[in-house]
Amino acid sequence: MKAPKFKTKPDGTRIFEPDFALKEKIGGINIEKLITPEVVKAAEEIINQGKERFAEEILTDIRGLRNSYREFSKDADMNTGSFGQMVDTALNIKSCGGMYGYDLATEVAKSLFEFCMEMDHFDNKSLQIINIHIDALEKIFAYKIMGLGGKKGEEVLSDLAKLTGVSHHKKEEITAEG
Amino acid sequence: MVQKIKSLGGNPLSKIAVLCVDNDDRISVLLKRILESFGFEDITVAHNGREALSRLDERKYDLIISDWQMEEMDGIAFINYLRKNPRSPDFFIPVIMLSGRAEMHNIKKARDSGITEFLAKPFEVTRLRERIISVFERPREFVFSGEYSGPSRRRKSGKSPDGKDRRKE
Repeated sequence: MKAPKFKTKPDGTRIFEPDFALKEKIGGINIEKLITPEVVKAAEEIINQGKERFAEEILTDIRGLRNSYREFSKDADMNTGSFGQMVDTALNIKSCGGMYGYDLATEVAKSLFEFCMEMDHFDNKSLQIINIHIDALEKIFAYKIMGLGGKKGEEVLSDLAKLTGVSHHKKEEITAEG
Repeated sequence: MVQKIKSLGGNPLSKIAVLCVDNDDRISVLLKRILESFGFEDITVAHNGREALSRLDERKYDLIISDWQMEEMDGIAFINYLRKNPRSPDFFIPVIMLSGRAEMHNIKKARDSGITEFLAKPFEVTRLRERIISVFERPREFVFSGEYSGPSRRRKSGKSPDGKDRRKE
């Protein structure tokens, strides 16, 4: 293994030269010639093949999300595991929904995740907002609504934005006074 | 072309060891399959930063693709350990961070921890390809200072870690 070359600046910062070890390891071949657009298409096909199965599997996650919500809504204590599980599941659905073409689910899960992250405590109304998000997610996957769901999808997102926007318990309220 | 190269001297990407770190099996299995279809053969999966460090203690890897949100040790804590801890198994290893937390302040936080590239989830295969190409073809200087250890945060192309052209924004 070659010793990496570096220079030291007067403040002690060491700057190492760019390391082309990975490129050298593949024989100096430009990796673009290995991972071609055709290869990308084949990889995308793998995702396409998994769409059906994903929609079925994710319903299990949503059932888990519903259970965490039920547990959390008993006392709305944000320090319990159920709140963390709810947030993690929302983030997971946000992260993978769009990969399988469920862009609306990603947007709804994003709305839920951000709503949970912004709140400092929950009352009945804000708990209800969480429940509405879960209902929406359940329907998206039950009816296999792909993409952004057209006009209906737009309405769902707009309604959720209104609901989450009117919440009174956000950590950082932005007021007209700034 | 790919077949020609492979027939000449085996698959070059088979020499590259990749460590995928994600607590969601759906994502890690999918990522592994995508990487295999790219031509990578030596792929290991870990479910959190702590498990990834154990894998790195066992053998040498060439590239890490890591999630952020994980229990036990999350992606940021994991990269901080890699870049700054004296017991790090590999200070210099390139890290592509995959995360659903793609807001600008989070991307900045990831960049300041020492990631090489950032890819927002859900990701498109072509974006993953771009990040891998960048790691192989455009490695950056590596900085060790009191406050930061990682690839230089200045890009000659003017692109930010998420691949967007900052100068045009």
